[in-house]
Amino acid sequence: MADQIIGGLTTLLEPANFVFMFVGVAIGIVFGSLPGLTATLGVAVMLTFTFGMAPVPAVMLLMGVYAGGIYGGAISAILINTPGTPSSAATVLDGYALTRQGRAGEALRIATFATAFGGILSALVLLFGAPQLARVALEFGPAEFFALALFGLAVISGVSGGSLLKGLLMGILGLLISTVGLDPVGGLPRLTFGMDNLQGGVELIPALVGLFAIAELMRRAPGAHLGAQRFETADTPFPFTRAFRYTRTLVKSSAIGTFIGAIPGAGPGIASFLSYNEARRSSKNKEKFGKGAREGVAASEAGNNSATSATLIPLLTLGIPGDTVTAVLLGALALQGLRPGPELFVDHADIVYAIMLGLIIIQVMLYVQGRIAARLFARVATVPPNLLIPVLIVLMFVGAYSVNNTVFDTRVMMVFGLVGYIAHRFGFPVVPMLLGIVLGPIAETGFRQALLQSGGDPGVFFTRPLSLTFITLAVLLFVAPLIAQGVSRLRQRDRVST
Amino acid sequence: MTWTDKAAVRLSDRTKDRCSGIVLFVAGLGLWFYSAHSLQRGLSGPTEIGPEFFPQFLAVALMVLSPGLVIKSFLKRDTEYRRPQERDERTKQDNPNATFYVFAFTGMYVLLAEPLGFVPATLLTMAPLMWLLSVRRWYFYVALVIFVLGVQHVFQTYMYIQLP
Repeated sequence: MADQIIGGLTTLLEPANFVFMFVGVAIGIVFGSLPGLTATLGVAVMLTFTFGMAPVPAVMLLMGVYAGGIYGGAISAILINTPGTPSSAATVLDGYALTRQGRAGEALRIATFATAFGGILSALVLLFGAPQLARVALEFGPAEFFALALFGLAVISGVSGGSLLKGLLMGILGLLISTVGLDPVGGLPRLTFGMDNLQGGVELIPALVGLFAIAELMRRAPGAHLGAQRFETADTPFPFTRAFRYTRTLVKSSAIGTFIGAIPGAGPGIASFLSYNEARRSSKNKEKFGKGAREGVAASEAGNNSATSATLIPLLTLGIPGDTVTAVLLGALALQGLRPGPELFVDHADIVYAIMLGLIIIQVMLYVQGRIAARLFARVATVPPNLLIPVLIVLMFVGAYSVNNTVFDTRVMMVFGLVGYIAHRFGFPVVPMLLGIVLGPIAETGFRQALLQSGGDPGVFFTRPLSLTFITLAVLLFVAPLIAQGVSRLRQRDRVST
Repeated sequence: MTWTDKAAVRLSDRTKDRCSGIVLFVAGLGLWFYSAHSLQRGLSGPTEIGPEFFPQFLAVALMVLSPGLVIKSFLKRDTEYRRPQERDERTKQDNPNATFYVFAFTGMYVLLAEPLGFVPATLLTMAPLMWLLSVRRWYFYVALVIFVLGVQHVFQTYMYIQLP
């Protein structure tokens, strides 16, 4: 392996590769930070520029955009309460709370550090343990996907704020929204109410932008005419050394992210929520989560970015693209005449190892650019809202529009904006709804396919070890807070009576 | 005050819980009826779960859980609800109509974008919104025009996305 790594390093050490990595990360950060524009769109757009390029710089450019895009999502999540990408939804919970406390710079710097940390750890796993992890990922069948989605949905108990019941209701509404469109197994239309535009289902990005961004602008609007932000100190420092206080959280989140990322079809969104929930569960300061816990930002960002590097595990080792971005990367590799799979490691070892080592360098570049970007972006929190609101509306409009090049999606965005606003006024958390929309299709497809394969026997979910593990974890995750709540109430009553 | 603001401010948290519980129950009931009677069933055998299963299951879950909000609103003590001053984040200087302006002008923008085109629709809706949000300096309006043209140029030239 040492020879292959040295060969990869030699291939990588071309100045042009570094330029493409740097440019890719910068473009990715811009794409990710604009609500509605995603890392996927960024990679798809940049793909056209890779025609005629050598394989390593081409993949490095695209991976730079991908990693930068996922990180960029945290910027808008922290500054304007709007996850730039679905995978940053968990970052909103504590990131925006920190901005409201006047600590936007601090939140951005924690996110930057966590992103780079998670990315490097995951790239190292890719370098040394990809084939082993790919074998575990291959064990994932429909039953395991259903169990994983159930486990993800159990996170609702941790992101419901004050009322679990309201969180559950929003989660159910999210799941219901995910059933709109052609059903994933038989292809029959459901809940489309005769609208052709709904045949493909409710697009996640317009829904996300509406739920978070439009609703947030409506909430901020009453004080906008005053022309001043309510958050005074926006650029608060956060020394590099202080970030190591969260090493335990970062390592755990990176491990979760890497494992989830290696499973084709799971994606960074689930990784960030599971990492966030684990950080909250194991924290001594649970009550701070959702109110500006730095650990929450670190967990979510380490989780989602470690998942991005890990998506390359099934792609490079098995030739299976785990998500849209890796599907585009598969196309990029095919354009270069490379066919991912076990043979790739034999026939083009220098290229494969150059890509894997390049991922580590991308994370370092991301950290450097992120630190600079944090300084610039933190100023967004001080821009007068009466100027920021119209600019953001225009960007959200083009973001929602560009998903399918249709105005219908911008209307969907408006509907979700109203839903998000009313939900907030009535004390309903919106994050569970987003979880429902993201995990609904995975849960339903897995459930139905598993039952089809087993001839309708529900035992399939409990006889497969991985599925049983996830279901048990989901039940524990859901029941544990309820038990803890009950015990603390009993103790309180005892104290009052004595 | 807009209608949403009026409703939200006037209603106590207890009443909001009751209203939302009832609305969600009715929505669940409606969805259950709709999915039970209007959804096409697949060519499923006795062991296959059809396309109507998930919407129906979720509609039932909604109907089972939503009365919980109403029941809880009767069981909760007053001290467990937020007081009005804790609930309302606004100050006396705030303009409650602004929420309506933002929603209405964004809605108009979305409706006008297709018939008028991206640049005219943006300028026709965002410039008045800026005025209503008390932006009075003329150069910010010039900046808006440059920004909109810039966005259109970047999207169409570099990202190959044809805006409406």
